[in-house]
Amino acid sequence: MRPYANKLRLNRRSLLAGLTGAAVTAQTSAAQDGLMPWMQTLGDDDLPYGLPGPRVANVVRRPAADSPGFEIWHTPLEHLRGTITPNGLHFAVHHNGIPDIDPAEHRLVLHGMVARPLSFDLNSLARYPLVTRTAFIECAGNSATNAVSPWARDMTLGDVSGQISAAEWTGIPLRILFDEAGIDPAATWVIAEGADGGRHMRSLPLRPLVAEGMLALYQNGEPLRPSQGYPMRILMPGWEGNAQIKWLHRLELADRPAWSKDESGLYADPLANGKLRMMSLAMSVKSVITAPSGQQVIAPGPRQIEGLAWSGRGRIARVELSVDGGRTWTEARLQAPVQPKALTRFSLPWDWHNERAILMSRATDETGDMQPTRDIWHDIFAGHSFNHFNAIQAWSINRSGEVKNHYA
Amino acid sequence: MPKIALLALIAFTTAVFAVNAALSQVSDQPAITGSPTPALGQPFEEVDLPEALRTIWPDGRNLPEGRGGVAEGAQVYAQQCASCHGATGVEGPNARLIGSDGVFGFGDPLRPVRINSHPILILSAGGMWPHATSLFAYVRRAMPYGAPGTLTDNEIYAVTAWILYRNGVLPKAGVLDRSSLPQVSMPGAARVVLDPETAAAVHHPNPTRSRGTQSNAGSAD
Ligand code: HEC
Repeated sequence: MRPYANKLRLNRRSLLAGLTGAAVTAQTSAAQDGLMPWMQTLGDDDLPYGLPGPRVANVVRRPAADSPGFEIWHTPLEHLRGTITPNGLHFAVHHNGIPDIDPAEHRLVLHGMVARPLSFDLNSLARYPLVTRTAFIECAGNSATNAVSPWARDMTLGDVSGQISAAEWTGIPLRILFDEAGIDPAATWVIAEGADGGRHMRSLPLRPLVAEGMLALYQNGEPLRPSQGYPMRILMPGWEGNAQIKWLHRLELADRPAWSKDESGLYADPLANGKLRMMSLAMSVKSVITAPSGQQVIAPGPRQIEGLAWSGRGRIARVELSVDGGRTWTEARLQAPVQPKALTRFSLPWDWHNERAILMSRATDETGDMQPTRDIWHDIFAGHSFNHFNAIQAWSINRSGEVKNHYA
Repeated sequence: MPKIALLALIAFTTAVFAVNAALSQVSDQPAITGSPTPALGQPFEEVDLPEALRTIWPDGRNLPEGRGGVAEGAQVYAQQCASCHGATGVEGPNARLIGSDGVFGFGDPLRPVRINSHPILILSAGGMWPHATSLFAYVRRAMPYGAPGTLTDNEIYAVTAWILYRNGVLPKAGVLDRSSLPQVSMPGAARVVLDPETAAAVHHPNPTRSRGTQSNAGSAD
């Protein structure tokens, strides 16, 4: 029989049944022999907003292993390819939950050391010329477990380092709004505040925000997800996520920082010399091997070593791979395009034949900054410091192919 | 002559009208012109900002009226905070408020938990935060977690006093208000180093101060 005829008739089934009550009998014939079951029936209906299928139900975010009392969701990096994170899988840290903001009532207020304090609603903002840019966002506390745990905990890549994601963001350059309000020449800081219940707030240096900051309204082409700050957030490529205020409702220009909770404590960096480094914003060069990675079991034979590299200070210049715990290094292939402050995917083919191995990736960015070893990182940061941990990640592989988080 | 002049005038005005009409028809045609900076912000008066949204600064600006002492603070803490931050502000399960920023002893019964499962419990507001005003400002905007805005300013001054007393920076008889709170000196302050990139970004070669209220331009505190 002609398969298309069958398909057409089935497509009209519900219509016919509705109009005439006629039942349509299923077609079976010798012509279907040897076909997969899904080739023999009409498929499912689509949805108004598509969802991942049940066959990939494991590709989901997971909450952080150690909850500090507020929500942390990790991107399952080991399940994803490419360099863009699907919106529903973008990592998220909410210090005060996700607010349910009415876009008609939301206002962004720009005040403080400006010539003309201004208030913007979403409809007006939508009439500005928008720009688009791909950027990663990483939580300052990404990989904290490997920074502080005395032993390497057996975890997946997503569980260790899933507080990094990337998207194509669209919005208004902050400079346009600042200029409209008229920056007081003595202003050096911006106090940025979200409209969440707890009004997350950070003090941010003004100059970099003028140069590169965006009021982001869209994420991968659709309005921001509530989890990412709907209706608007700061996007400042390269900075720690905590500073890229979600649900943004207030920007106050000032000549000093306000010393909010997070810049005073949780997001400060205790150093090995006893000092407390505060207001560190740029995320340093870092990379992770996504495959093979933690808790996977690999089979002997040919495969690809693959991973992601990024730097908050520009482009990735080079990624080197080691399978012998860092004794020898081989330069990996970088997939184009290599964009600044975005994710760069790297890979190398690898034949594995049941030998013990310790895999490591070491990225260098265009400023010449290279990832440190865990030991060197701890020469600078205190033993209990957990922010801005960008040391080389290692995975050990035993003879049975079991991959484990490893300190090397 | 006057008749001719009149006719001429009429003819002239008619012509002008015709030309004008033609011109205005031209300008009614759609054309792509516009500004890349539409300037659609609505003027906003600083005084219209609700009091609760005004930044509380380390020098005390925008701190509200009210006062509270350690004794009342102990009660507020026990009722409103202890369930999450522990009986003495150390135990958690949520953020540790008292003492260490990581220098915890081997005698600490929670040491293994702190190290591995709750790294956040090895930091504390009392040990790290450089400004006492930040404590008041944060509790006022965000605590108790899940019910922000339910404490009075007196209660917030009081519980701040208790936390500072427990951290050894306020005497037991200490009472806080908008003038005394900014005077409290915090142990963390002496250890702060501003991140060098951020310090360079806020460096102002020659700040021309246009607002008398904001002195110490560019300083880190
Ligand atoms: C329902 C649990 C809960 C209650 C009750 C609660 N807190 Fe909290 N508190 C938290 C959580 C969770 C955090 C961490 C929030 C974050 O980091 O975003 C926190 C953070 C804090 C911090 C910041 C600590 C730091 O170093 O970052 C302070 C200060 C604080 N709380 C004070 C209080 C006070 C004072 C009260 C009582 C008035 C209180 N909390 C009641 C859960 C609670």
